[in-house]
Amino acid sequence: MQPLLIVSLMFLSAILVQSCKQYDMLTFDVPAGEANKSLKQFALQAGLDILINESDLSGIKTNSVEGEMTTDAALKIMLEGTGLDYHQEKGSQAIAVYYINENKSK
Amino acid sequence: MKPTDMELNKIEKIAMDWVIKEDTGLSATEQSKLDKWLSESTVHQEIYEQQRWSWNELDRLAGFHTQQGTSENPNLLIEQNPKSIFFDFTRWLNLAVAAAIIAISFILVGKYLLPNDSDTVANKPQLIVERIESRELDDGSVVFLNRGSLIEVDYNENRRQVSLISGEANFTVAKDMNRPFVVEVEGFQIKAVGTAFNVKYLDQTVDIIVTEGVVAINSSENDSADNAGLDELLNENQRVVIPLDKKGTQHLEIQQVDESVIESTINWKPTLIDFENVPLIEIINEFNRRNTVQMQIIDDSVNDVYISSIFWSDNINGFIKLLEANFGVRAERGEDNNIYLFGQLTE
Repeated sequence: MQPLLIVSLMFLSAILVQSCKQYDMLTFDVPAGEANKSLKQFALQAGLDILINESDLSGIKTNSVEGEMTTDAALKIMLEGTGLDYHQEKGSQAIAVYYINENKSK
Repeated sequence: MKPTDMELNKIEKIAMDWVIKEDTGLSATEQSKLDKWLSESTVHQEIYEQQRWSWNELDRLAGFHTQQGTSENPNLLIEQNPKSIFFDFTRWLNLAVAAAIIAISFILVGKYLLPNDSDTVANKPQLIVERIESRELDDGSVVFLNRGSLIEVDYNENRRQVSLISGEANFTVAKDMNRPFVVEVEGFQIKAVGTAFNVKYLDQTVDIIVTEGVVAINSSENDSADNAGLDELLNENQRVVIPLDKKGTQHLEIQQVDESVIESTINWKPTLIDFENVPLIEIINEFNRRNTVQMQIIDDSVNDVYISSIFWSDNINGFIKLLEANFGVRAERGEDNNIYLFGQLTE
């Protein structure tokens, strides 16, 4: 039975390593500022493509983010309290950012 | 003639040696030797069979778990409760742990590794557009491969050779004076030391453009790859188009090309598309300029949306998926392989 256990543990380890890769830590340094400019800066640092829906975006400022963290964590900090939300396409390394309102088409 | 006892003992020993060896696996040579030995005599065969039978019996007996002890076991012949025979706690615990680990693994696969609903283009596999492949070679040279292109890399101590089997590749070559970088395509060799150039092999034509430095071109049929004096030199901003059906019969015609020609020739190479607050059509036009797969807006309402973006020009898939998920757009692939964009409310 021991070989079965060993194989199972190896399988689990491989899965865990792959899972962790999905959450690579990156270093971010994006100052607070006009949403579309800051978000583009963020995308370049994260190595992601980004589409920003400009409707209702004027005047919105995003928060600064600095330090080592996942892209998810960085985005959450940047968008907190701004009324903006995001959708990430895992398979294609791309995110969309939009203003949350009743009419959002999703 | 009947073998003597001494001879029989010797044969038995040889036969047993073969049986034991067979258990651990015979090489082709050993198998051949065994066959030869068996074919030498029927006595060999008979004794070998006996030894094989004995060995198998020993294996079978080894599988029995016997009970031994100095005192009599009064329960030895009593029928055991099946549960007590099969309930080996450690065995079942191990099995349960292994099963749990595998189950957890599958859950993790499902949660993190398999694409979620938004990742899959359900019922629309035809929308998938491959990204441009970029490859960093062992020496730091970088190759971009246009969609559907194929290369073979063969590096050795004296030479860095890449064969363009089909399609189009763009090379940025790392400097190495001791090892020329050679791209081979249909008998032609393009030799560089540290430079950048584009090679397209399509419809029996090889099209070479140099964007940086100098390359030397020759036909390997003349076997003059190592003789720079016989090579045709192609400088920066120069192009040569070689029709393969006239290979070896013509002098290479070198053209001077301007930046716009170079740009339009290698615009398939991925670049970041950076737009600020523009209607969707402008971004789509830029994608179209850089890809053979074309997108077309069918429903004008789609164009009402204004977008800022930074997007790799070859990431059509990601672009379409985000448009569908967040911008009220529905995409369909036409029979012509192009992508048509509708409003989500349009049937």
